Amino acid sequence: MATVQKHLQQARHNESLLQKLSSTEFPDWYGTIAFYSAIHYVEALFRHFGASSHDHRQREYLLKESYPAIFKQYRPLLNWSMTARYDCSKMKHEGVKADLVDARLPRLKQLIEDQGLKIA
Amino acid sequence: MSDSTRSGIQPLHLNSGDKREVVVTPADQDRFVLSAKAAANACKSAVDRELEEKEWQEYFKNFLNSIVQWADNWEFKSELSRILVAPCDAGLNLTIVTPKSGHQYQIEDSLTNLELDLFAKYPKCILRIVQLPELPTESLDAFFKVETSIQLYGDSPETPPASAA
Repeated sequence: MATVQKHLQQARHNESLLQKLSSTEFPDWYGTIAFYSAIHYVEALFRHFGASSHDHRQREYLLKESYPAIFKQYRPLLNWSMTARYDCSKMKHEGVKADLVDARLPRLKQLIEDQGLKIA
Repeated sequence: MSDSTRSGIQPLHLNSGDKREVVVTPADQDRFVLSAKAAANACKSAVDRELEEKEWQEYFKNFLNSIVQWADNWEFKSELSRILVAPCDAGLNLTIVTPKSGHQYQIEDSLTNLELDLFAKYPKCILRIVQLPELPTESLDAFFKVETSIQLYGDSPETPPASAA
C-alpha cells in the first residue's frame, strides 16, 4: 500500500503532465489526467488518516460519507474521465481546462489541505 | 394468541419447545424430518424474509420515486432527455441523458448534490450518477447494460442517434 508521500508524488507527477499537454488537442486525456491526479490526492488524504480504498466505488463511498465537500469537486472529474474513455465520440475541449483543471482540481486540493494534509 | 384463523379452520401448532420431531411434506413430496425448534426457526426466518423483501421493495420504490420527483423539479430540466437506472457489479448506475452533444459542465454540481442527497436518504442504494449525451444503444452499453436498465424518466429516442464515427 502506497504511503501518503508516494500518493502525493504521483499526484504531482500526473499534474505536471498537464503542463505539457494541449487541452484543445487532447481534451479527453487532459481531463482524465486531472482525474488521476485527483485520485492520488484523495488517496493521500485517506492514508493520512489511516484509511485507503481498493476501488473506485469504495473511494466514492468514503468521500460521500466523510468528505462530501471534496466529493463535490471529485465527481465531475470522474464523470468526465469515464465519458472521455468510453464514449468514442469526440470530447469537446471547451470547459475541460476552465472547469476541471483550473477550478475543480485546485479546489479539491485546497479542501484536502483544509483537512490538515499539506500537499503543496 | 387466538386460535381462530382467517379461514376458520383449526390451525396447526408448532411449538419450538416441543420435544417431538416434525415431518414435513413439501409440494414436491420430498419428505424430510427436523426438530420442532429447527422447524419453528425456519418458519420465523421465512416470515422475516418476506417482511424484509416487502420493506425493501417499498424502500426501492420510494428511492426511484424520489429521483422522478427530483427530475420534475430540476432547475436544468431542459438539459434532460431521459434517466436510466441500471444494476452493476457494485450497485447502481444512474444515467442522466442530455439532449445536447458534449459534456454539460453547468449541471455537474446539481448532479453531485443529487448523489449526496440520495446517499443520505437511501444508504442501501449504492449509486453512481453519470451524465451522458444521447448515444446509440451500443455506445450506452459501454457504461451500463441497457437491456437490464429501467427508464425512469423521459421517452426513448424514436430514432437512435447515429454511431459516432
